[in-house]
Amino acid sequence: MKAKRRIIDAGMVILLPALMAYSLVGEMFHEIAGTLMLLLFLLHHWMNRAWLQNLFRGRYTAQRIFQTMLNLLLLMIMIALPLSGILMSKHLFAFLPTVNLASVARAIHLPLANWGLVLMSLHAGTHLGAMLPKGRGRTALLTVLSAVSAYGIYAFIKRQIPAYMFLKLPFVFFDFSEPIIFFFLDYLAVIVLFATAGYGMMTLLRNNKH
Amino acid sequence: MKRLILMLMALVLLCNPIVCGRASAQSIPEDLTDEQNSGNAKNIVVYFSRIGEQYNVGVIEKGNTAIVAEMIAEATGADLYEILPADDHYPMTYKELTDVALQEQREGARPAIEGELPDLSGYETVFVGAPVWWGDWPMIMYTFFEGTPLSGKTLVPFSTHAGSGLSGFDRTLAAAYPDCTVEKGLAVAGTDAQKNPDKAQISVDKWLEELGF
Repeated sequence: MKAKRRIIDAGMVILLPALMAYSLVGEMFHEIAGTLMLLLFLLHHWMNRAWLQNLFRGRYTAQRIFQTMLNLLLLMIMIALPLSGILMSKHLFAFLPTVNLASVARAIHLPLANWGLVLMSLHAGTHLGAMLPKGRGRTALLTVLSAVSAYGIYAFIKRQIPAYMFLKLPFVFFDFSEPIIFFFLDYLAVIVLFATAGYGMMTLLRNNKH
Repeated sequence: MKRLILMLMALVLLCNPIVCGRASAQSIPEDLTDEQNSGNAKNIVVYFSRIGEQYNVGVIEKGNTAIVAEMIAEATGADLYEILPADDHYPMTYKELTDVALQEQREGARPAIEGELPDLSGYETVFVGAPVWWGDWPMIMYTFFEGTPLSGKTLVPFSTHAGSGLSGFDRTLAAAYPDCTVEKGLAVAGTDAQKNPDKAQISVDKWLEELGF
């Protein structure tokens, strides 16, 4: 049961940089990957349905408040993203009569995709504690993650992710002449950055009763 | 034997294009809007451009791409050819235009071009430019590509955009013309072309210089 969950989670983590690459890997692939991401998300939610069921039960520690707020934001994003994507689909869902909603959809999809990247990574980070090894292995791993995160800050700014998040850039820019591996490495570093930040946040909030 | 060699050398020298061919000096076309081959130009700028309400520039009377196309033509002495739709159904308001553009892309449309396609056989270099519509060339450009087979020429793409840059225009152009050489393209922000033309001109000049024009 746990393994199945991890496979779905891993699938989503792998799809994320591929999705961010959009036309670099082909618009058709993006739409297929996006549909797959939606399916994985629904499965993920189903397998973690206890979270929703227990939302109004139990005590809210500082950690839980942080996680819950994050999850609720993500829930909204994970509805708005596939919806907006479908509305402006050029391949899989192009049969839908949605052309007149496409330009609004684009204005939603681009910033939310970037917010989603950040928040999904944070979300993953908040659950990392349970998965990390104990003792010295943990320290070693955290050191590596911190180093990658430092590069991730640079990549975050270089790729102009804040500009997309805050609607400063209305259309996404891709450098087709850049070897795509660099794109993926940068985005993986950004994922590590925010995952580490999420883990760090949980550590900070530990033992903080509400 | 020596005389034969001397004769051959003389023949080669005489047939040197600088001596007996057309003048290679760039000619500045008298009328930039003349769509016919003005005789001497080795290069031509083919472009598609829209006026009316466009992104972040308000309602314009000269298209962003047209501005850049004319800059290139003037700097290189190239001819100009504007691709015009046979049925100009393109809306003059921005949002409606983007809707039509997406619908054309979804359908894989090939909007008809007005008039006869130009005979490009006499040109060495063809600059090809258009605005970026939903990350790609406007579909009418594909009508042009498919209707104008070219081989052995140098193609140079340029785009006007609102952030997406060249948007793979060089790749798609190369795919449309596998027998041509595609040079490094230029991306000009539409707002620069329209509101900051000096800045656009500097980019154009620098790019042309790098290309060897």
